[in-house]
Amino acid sequence: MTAIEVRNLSVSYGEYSVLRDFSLTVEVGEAVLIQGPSGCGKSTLLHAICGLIPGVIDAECSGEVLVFGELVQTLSVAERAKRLGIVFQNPETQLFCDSIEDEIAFGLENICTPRDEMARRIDEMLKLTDIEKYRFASPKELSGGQKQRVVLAAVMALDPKVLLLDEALSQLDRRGKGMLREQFSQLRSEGCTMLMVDHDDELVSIASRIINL
Amino acid sequence: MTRKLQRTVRLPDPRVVFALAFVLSSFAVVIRGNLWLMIGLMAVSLLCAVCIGVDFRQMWRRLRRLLQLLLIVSILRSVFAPSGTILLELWGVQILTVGGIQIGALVLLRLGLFITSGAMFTCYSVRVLIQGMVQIKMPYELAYMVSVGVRFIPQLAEELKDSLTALQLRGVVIEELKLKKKLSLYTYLILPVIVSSMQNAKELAMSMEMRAFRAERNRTSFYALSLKPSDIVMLCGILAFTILMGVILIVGVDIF
Ligand SMILES: Nc1ncnc2c1ncn2[C@@H]1O[C@H](COP(=O)(O)OP(=O)(O)OP(=O)(O)O)[C@@H](O)[C@H]1O
Ligand SMILES: [Mg+2]
Repeated sequence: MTAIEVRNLSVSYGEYSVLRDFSLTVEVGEAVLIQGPSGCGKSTLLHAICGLIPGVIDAECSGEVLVFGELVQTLSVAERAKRLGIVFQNPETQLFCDSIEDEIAFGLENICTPRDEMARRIDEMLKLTDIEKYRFASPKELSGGQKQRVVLAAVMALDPKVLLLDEALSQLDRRGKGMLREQFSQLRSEGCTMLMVDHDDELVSIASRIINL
Repeated sequence: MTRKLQRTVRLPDPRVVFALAFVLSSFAVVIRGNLWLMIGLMAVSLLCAVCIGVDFRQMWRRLRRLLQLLLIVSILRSVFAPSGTILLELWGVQILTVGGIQIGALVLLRLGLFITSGAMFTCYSVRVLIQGMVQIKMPYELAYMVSVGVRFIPQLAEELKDSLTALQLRGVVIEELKLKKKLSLYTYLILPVIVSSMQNAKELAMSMEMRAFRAERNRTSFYALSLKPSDIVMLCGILAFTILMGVILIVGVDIF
């Protein structure tokens, strides 16, 4: 089954064209690593896959994106969040709650998860990303790498079918990267589809395919 | 399983403070001309603020500026609408009258009441306030909008400060600039700061949306506030106080 299908996607910001006639098919269970120089449009591609271009982000766009066979633009917020989870590139602008626990709870609250289920999920995510110590800390007090862990925890808590990672580990130390790589390969073996953007070669070992933009 | 919020164990429920702030600021608007009643109201609100644990040194720093305002308003009032005993007269113009000071004091107290009411919220975390708003049936979208908006302002100030520091590091001595230069410098700085905050706000909105914000009409909550007996007693107290004040205002009981 196809998880994501990008058909003849072209994106331009005003005069400046970023992606030209780009196509990509990702099957369920694949882990695709996208590499390329700065500014080649990796983040833009992920935004388009999430349906944020066109619409939320100001850009002209042609072509279409299908998520599990449906046009991403036609999905409701709830349906989209169940299928796609994205960690954006900048951890600073993705945290807005008072504590890490709240941050992880936020998405779960939105999809009306019952309270005990939520408690279980939060514990699990805190452990998985190794930030149990900071449960009640404010995101503002954390370092860049710690913030990235929190964002990951908050996104993975929703258990999306496809995980989109935009340099999600860029500020982590070697040990953290190694640990999360393990978690990712665990997720993959559970059937989660992954689309990763990364500069380093850290994630090459878990990728089933590498695409150079 | 009801989980209590960590940092608010000893504080009253935020809904009690909502009620209190609402009552205090409503009376601050309603009371006209009755200076003693206003002073009484101010005393009550200060007492409440102390009990909740408002940081008064910080409050005083803000209020101090208001005292200058009191003087200005009093003088303006005395000059343009003189009433009561004259305290100071220069070249045949009444500079300060008792009536003027009374009006000035009323204005000041009204502002002071708004400030103390607002200051009570600073003891609570934003999460608790949102939960309070949601539990008095305010739509959660609105509650979040308010809270994100509240964060926006300090963030703007922060970024402006960063830009200024960056300028200083490049050798611009801001203190030595002429006022006109300084003003144009600020206008140059403010625009990019606002633009970058808008960009941040947009990214934040994208992140919230991708984490299913507004996916459903309702949302569950990991935290729940529950009224303790002491909160109910306080609510009753606020109600009694409101009735008392209402009676004084309507019947016009002249207790002083
Ligand atoms: N909102 C926007 N408005 C205008 N231009 C944009 C916008 N977002 C991105 N661009 C431009 O589009 C190009 C591609 O940006 P994008 O963020 O997709 O690159 P990237 O491959 O993710 O780079 P990096 O590796 O540095 O993250 C860049 O040249 C950038 O200047
Ligand atoms: Mg990028």
